[in-house]
Amino acid sequence: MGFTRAAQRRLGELVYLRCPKIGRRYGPQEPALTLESEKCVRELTLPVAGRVVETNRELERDPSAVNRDPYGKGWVFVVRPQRSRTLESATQAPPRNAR
Amino acid sequence: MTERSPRPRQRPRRSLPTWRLLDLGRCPPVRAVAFSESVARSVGRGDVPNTLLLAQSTRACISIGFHQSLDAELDQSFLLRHRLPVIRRVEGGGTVFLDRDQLFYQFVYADAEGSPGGPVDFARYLSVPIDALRSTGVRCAFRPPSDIVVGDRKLSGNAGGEWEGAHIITGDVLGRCNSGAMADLFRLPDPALRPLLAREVARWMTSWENETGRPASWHSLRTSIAKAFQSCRLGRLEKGKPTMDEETTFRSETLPRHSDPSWTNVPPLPRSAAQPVRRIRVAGPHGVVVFEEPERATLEVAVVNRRQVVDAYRIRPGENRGLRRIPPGALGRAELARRVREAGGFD
Repeated sequence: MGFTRAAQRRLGELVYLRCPKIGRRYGPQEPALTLESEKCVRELTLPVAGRVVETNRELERDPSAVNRDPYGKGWVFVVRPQRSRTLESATQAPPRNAR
Repeated sequence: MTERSPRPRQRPRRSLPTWRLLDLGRCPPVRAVAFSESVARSVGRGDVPNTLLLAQSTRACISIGFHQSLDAELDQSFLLRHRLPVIRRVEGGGTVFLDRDQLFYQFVYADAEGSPGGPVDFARYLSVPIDALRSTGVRCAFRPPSDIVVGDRKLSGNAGGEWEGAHIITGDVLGRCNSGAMADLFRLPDPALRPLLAREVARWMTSWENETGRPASWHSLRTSIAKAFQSCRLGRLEKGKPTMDEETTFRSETLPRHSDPSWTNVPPLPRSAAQPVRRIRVAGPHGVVVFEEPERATLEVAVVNRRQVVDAYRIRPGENRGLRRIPPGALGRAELARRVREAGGFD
């Protein structure tokens, strides 16, 4: 899970980001990620229900990696979806060449 | 035969939503800053309409941003000396000194009014205080992302957040600018930085009194804000009172939470070695950045405008302590400029 280039542009420069806890289960549309950008605190929800299996802790030290490299060092966390069909309703980034 | 120009299609007039105006008057600091949290719960549940809150504090206090750590941000001796309450608000942004000479406004609105997942539309909501201030003779403007400025000097700081299913945009209008207190409250890695910070605050902050030459007229500003709200077409404003639920939530949840040190003092987020030891945004793109230089056992200080170093100093502990200017072209200044650029400056 992460931000598309367009999404990080809309949010502006990230100054704080708290990753979800590894192992925690989230329901669909449940807030999983707290971040602050451009003087605004936001909570972001998961598009699918699932369990967090890996997080990018480096972002807590340097959240601006999301702005600099959203498809590389700016990845946020990995979630194992509860059911594969829930993925169908998830938001998908456009293909790489379309970004 | 002349061709008739097509009749312009009439747009259907969108009916404006009704907003509630809650004027809390003068009240204790926690109520002035955080009553919006119980309002957000009611607005988020749909129990009350979107709400514009106005308030003034009965005494001075300090408000820190949601992600800020009290220990990392504030000078402990200043806090002890003045016995100021510290309130960790649910909105973002930096540390602010709030006192009786300020008017707080807060827009609390449900998702349908905002842009979920996207940036908060500060420009739209801040058009209200801007119009109100202009009508009272202050020639101010919006400066992205969320300031109200006169020229390049900040008159009002604003921040946003989400709480209990509603959005909150909070801000204040400075009636008088207490730049001394604003500079004294920050924790600094060396006391020699204090006068520099005070100078920068005085340079980049302004107030109603500075701009008009007379003390702020709070009654007229309140009236102007209510008028501007309707002329900016955000909604129809109707005076209201806090509901019983809001008062109960405030007494039983908001107040106890704000008196709990574990809420107010969260641990600071980890910092990488490349990041500055201190980064204080004075106003908008202006700020002061301090790096440690372990090899030379010095602190390197940059006065920054966006990513540009406009002035630079060195502090060498153990010697005659004080700021020594690093002139343009001197060894170390280019390196300091590079580190400021890498740290992001104050974009």
